[in-house]
Amino acid sequence: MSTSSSSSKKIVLKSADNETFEIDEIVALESQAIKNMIEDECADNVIPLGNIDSKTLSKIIEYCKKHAESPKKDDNADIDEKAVEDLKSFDAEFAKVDMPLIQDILMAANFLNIDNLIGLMCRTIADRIKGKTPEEIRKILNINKNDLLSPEQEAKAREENSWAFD
Amino acid sequence: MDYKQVEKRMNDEIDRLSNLPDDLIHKILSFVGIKCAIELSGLSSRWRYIWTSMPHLNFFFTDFDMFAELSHFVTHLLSRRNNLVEVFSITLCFDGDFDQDFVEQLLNYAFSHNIRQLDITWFYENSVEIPLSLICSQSLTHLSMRGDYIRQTVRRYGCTSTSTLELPALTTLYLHACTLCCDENINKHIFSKCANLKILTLKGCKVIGSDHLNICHPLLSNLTLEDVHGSLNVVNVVAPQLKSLTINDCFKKYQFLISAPNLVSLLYKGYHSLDLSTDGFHLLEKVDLCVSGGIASPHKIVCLFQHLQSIKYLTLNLEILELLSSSVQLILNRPSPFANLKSLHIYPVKELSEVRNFVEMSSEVKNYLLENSPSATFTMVSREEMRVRKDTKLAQNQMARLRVMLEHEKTKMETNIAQVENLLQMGRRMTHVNRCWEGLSDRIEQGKEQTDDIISQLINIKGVLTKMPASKRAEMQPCFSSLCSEADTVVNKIMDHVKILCDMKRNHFTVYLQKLSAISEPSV
Repeated sequence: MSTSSSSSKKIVLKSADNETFEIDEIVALESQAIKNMIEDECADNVIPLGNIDSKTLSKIIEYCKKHAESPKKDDNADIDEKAVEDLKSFDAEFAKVDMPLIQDILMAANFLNIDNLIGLMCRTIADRIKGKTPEEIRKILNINKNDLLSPEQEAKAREENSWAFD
Repeated sequence: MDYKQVEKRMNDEIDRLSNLPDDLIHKILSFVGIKCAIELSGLSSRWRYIWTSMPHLNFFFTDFDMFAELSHFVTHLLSRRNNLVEVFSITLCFDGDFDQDFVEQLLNYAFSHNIRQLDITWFYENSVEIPLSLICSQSLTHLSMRGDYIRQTVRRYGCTSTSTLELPALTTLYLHACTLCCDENINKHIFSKCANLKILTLKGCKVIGSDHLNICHPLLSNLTLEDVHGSLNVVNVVAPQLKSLTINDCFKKYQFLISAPNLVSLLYKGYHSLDLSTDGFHLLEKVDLCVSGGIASPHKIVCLFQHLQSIKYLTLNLEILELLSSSVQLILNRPSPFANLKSLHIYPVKELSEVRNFVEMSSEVKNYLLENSPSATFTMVSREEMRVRKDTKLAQNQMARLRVMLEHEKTKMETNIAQVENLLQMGRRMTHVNRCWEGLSDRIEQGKEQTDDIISQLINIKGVLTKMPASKRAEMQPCFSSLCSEADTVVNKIMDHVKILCDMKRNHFTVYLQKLSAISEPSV
């Protein structure tokens, strides 16, 4: 529960474009993957993250910092409402970025195994496609044109799934 | 286009989502619900069959107009999804008719596919009766059954437990608006076959058939009892691992027999003092008490404090101290019960006008609480501060709501003009011409109503803000100003929009008059 600086050990993360980020260990521990590395003592001082660029990584660190500072739910059942509200509004602000970045964050969060962040990004994507037409969704998600179904295939899909929309 | 540009374009337009592993796409789809997931199968080849392996089956209330529709959908879904894929979670919401066979079919499927999480919500405008005995699973770890009010007039219970729940893997149980039949046989065992239960919440539940509620669990760590009522008089808790106990909205006088030697945190909100018998709370650190009915006995409160001697952090509502102040003789010769307090926090729950027989908090009471804990910090929120906080929250909520509404209006307007243009294209028959005329008039009227609504909301918010002290007002000012300028933009847009509609109406008027003047054509 203590987030005090008694053991403010530092961890350095290195992005794909060779930028380094020095962060408190407690912040890095938000990532289950890094936590495992540290526990297994297979983390050197610098952890290279070859598939995460610096823009995405700095967003992820911003998120982990905020969540590491916030009181944890399982430590104390009745953390005050304000902290919960505060975290909620932070998350809402955090998710206000463009779709490519959201998808990059999601992939990186998946790689780093940060459960809450995966959930937040998935919910954000879901909110943006809810109630939209397929054409709009293809645009929002930037779906590869080569993957599109032919008109015949699309008609077949609709036919196959017609039970769902009767 | 040179090579670099091509590469850059490829990067920008990369279809990141389709490269995601299935479980992430499933997770995204879990938030839109299974029905929508199936709708998306036409999106691309990647999305074509992804729903068939969805482990999250979320049936949202808004996706189905009628229960029959839901039931039809589920039957087909179960026969068409990949039978080899386990079901991780189900979320089911319904109101209106309820068919036990259908729910049984769905649950049996889920149980045979190793479901972990089950959330059932019903809106109990109509009475629903789900026997809890339907739920019997070796794999389920999380179960939530909740009734939601549409109209809050009559209490209704949608779910009845008449036998022991057999859920050996269950760790979290949340029951809301359920009836717990606790006759002699079941009483001791109602949750006894949920040996792994760690978090138990009973909210708005009615106990019938017994005046005892027994909660005895070796692993239970969090217990919340909120507005539990019925034939109940005694709540008996035996939970050696219990860390956190919350008793909320307790309107009746109950007796609590609690054996929880590891309890750390206790929260109680009720009309009466908490009537407690324990075998000691030696590890208790944090207590939050709120007794606000104005009918509690000061003596009982003093007794309660005796159970809380070890605590470090104490929060009380101001009304408790006022109550003690009215019977100061009770505490005059008593030593302070607390020797380790680090903080004492006081806050009011009622406005001054709501307090009967107001007695100001006396210094004796403060001494009584703090004399043995000289290093404790003492903080107190005054009624005035409380009012400001409430107003701040109110203003913030109102502003947030208006902001959402403005955003909504903006998008609505864009589609609106297109719709009107479509309407005008519709035809030259008299009925169409009539309908066009009405459509235009309605939309112009709507525009007027929207602007009025926006203005009146702003006036309301301003009303709340002006009641606040200057410093708080200054804090809220930037937010309010930006909201006003946003409202200005939207109102202007609506005005422009109405102007376009009026122009359309004028042009249309010529057509309308022509049609009207032609007597030879029938008017309908």
